[in-house]
Amino acid sequence: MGERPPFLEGGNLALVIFLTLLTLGGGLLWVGPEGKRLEEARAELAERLERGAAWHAQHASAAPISAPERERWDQGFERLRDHGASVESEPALMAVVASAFRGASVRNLEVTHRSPPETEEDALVRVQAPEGEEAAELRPVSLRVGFDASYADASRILSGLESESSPASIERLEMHRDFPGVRVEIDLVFWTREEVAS
Amino acid sequence: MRDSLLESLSLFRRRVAIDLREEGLYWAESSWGAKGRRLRRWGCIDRGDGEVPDQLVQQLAGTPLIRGAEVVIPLQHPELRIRRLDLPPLHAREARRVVSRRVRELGDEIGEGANCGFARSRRKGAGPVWLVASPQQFCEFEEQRWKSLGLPVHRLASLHLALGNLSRVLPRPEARELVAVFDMSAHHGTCVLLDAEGWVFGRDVPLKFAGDHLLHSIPGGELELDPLERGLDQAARLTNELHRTFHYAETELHLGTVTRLVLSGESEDLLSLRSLLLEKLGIEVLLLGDAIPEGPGAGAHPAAAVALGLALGLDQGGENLLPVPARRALARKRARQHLTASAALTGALLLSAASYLGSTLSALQEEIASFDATWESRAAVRRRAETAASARARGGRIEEVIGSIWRPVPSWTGALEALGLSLPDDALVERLIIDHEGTRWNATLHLEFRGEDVAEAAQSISRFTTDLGESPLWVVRSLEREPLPPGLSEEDSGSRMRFRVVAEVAPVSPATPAAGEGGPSGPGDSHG
Repeated sequence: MGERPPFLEGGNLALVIFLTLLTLGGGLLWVGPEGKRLEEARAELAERLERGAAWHAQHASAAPISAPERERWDQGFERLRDHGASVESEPALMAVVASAFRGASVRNLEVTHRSPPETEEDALVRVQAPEGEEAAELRPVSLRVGFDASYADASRILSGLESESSPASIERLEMHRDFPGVRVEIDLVFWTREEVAS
Repeated sequence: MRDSLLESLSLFRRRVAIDLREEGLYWAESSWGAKGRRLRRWGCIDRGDGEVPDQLVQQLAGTPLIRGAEVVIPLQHPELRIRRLDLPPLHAREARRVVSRRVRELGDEIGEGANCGFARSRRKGAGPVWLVASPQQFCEFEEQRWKSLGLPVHRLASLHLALGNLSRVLPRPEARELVAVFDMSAHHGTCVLLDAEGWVFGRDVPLKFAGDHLLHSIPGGELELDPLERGLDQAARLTNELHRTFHYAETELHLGTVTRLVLSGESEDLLSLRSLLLEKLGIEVLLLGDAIPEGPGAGAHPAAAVALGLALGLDQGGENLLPVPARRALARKRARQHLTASAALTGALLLSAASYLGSTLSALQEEIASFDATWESRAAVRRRAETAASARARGGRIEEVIGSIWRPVPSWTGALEALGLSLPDDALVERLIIDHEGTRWNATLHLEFRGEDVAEAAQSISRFTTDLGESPLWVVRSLEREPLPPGLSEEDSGSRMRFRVVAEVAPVSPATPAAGEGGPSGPGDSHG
C-alpha cells in the first residue's frame, strides 16, 4: 500500500469526506425534492399566468354599463311595463277598444280580429328588466275597426290613437266620404298587458 | 483560523523573505499574480544597542507581515552544492528522469543524509534547472533554530540561488554576458555570476577582516588607517579574489564575460569599495539599489539583496531545502487549510443555494397565492361582466321592442290637416287610403272636381298637388285623371271629374323614452 498524500493525512480525510458530503448535499438540494418542488411551483405559476392571460383575452371586451345606458334601459323597461291595456277577457278587450272610438257622431262601430287568436297567443312579447327578475309581457292584438262619424270626431279619434300613451298603433287607414260624415276603417295593433309575477 | 482561511482563500500567495545580518534584519515581500511572482516591498529592522539578532526575529514573528505568508530563510553552508543544468527541449517525463538522476548524483557528492532539491524555470521546453543539495543535519538545525525563535519557516533556499534570482530585477544582460553580484557580510563575501536566466556560478570568498572596516586601510579612504591590521593588501586581496573568480568562469568554465559587478552587503564602505573595484577591475560596478532600474527594488539598500532574491525565488517547491518531515507537515497543514477553506466555501455556497432555493420557492408560492387572490377578485369581475352582458342583452331587447312598438308612423291628424288646407274649394276627397309597405307609407287619394271647365279643373288639381307637396308630410308621386265608372257617360256624370293622386306620407319618429313625455318628435316634427 502506497504512502498517502499529505492532503489525506492528519484528519484531512475527515475534511475531504465532509467536503464531499457537502457537495453531494448541494447537488441533492437541486435535483432532490426541494428542486422538484421549485420546478413544480414554477410550472404551477406558469399555468396560472396562462389562465390569467386567457381570462384577460376573454373578458377584456366586457365593458361596464354606463350610467346613461342603464338609465335609458330602465326607463325603456318602465315604459314597456306600463304600456298596453290590462284586459283579462275578450269582452273586456272589446270594451276597452270601443272606448277609444267613442264620440257623439260615431255610428256603426265594428271591431273584428284580423288574425286568429292562436296566432296572437304566439306573438307574445316578453322583456326583462335590465337587472333583476322583473319582466313585462305584451301581446299584440291585430284588429280592424270600422265606424261612421263626422269629420271632427274622426279627427279627434285619430288624434287620440296617435298619442304616445295609446295602446294602439295604426297599420292602415281608409276613409270614405259618406255624406254628411265619413266612413273610417282602421287596421291597428292593440297592445294588451299581461300581468307577470315579479 | 481566520488568517488561515484568508490565506487559503487569497488569490495572491504572499511570501516574506528574511535575511538576518549583523546590523539588522532585512525582509522583502512578494506576491503571486497574473504575471508571476512580483516584488511588492522590502524593509529592515535595525539592531538596537545591546540587542542580539535573535531578538529581531522574535520582534518580527507574529506581526501581520508574517501572518499568513510563506516565510523563506536563506541557507548557506560550505558543503551546500549547486549545479545548473541547461535542459534541451524534452518530454516532461524524460526531463524529470534526467533531473532526478542528476539530483541523486549531487546528493551523493555530499554523502549520507543529503537534502536535495531542484528548481525549474519553465515547466515545458528548454530551460535551466538548478539542482541543490545540502547536509540534512544542517537543514534540520536551521529549521529548528528559526522555529525556536517563534518563526515558522516554510522554505529554506540557497543564498547563492537567492542572489541569482536578482536577475529578474536587474537589467537583462546580452548573450554570453554575465553579471556578478558580490554580497559582503561581516565575515565573508559571496560572489555569484548570473546570466539572463539566473544563477550560473557562485563562490564564497572568505574575508579575514570585518566587512564594516574593510576600507580603513585603503589609501585615500576617509577613515583612519591602521597599517598593522588593515593593510592595503587586504583590499588588493579582495580585488584579486574577484578577478580570479571572473577569470575562472570566463576562461576555464567558458560561461561568458563578466561585464558588470553589483555590490551588496552591509558594509559602510561600499561606495569606496565600488571606486576601488571600478579602478582595478575595469568593468561597470554598481551598488544594488542603483543597479535595479525600476519597481519596488529600485533604490533598495545593498544589504537587502538576499532578501530580495529570496522573495523572487521560483514557486515550484523542489528547491526547498526544508527537511522532508517538516515539508510534509507543512504540506499537510496547508492542505488542511485549503480543505477547511473549501469546506467553508462549499458550505457557504450550499447555504446560499438553500437560501436561494427557499426564497425562490417562497416567492413563487407567494406569487401563486397572490394570483389566487387576484383570481378570486377576477371571478367577481367575471360575474359582474356576465351580469353586465346579461343586462346589455336585456337592454337591447327592450330597445328592440320599443323600436317595434313606437316605430315611425305618419302623423295622422297632421297629414289630414295639411290635406284639408291644400284642398281646393271645388274638390272633394272621395276616398283616402294610407297603408304601409315596410317603412314606407303610401297614400292614395281619390278626388272629385265639380266644374265645367276641364282645363280649369286640371289647373286647380295641379295647384293642389303643388301645395300638398310643399307640406313636409306629403310627397306627391303621381296625378292622373280617373276614367268614368263603367256604364256612366260624360252626360250622366254631369260636370264631375275624378282624379287619383298617389303620394307618400312621411312617418314621424316617436318620442324616445329618455326624451320624456313630450310626444312625437323627429324628422316630422314640423307637421303643424
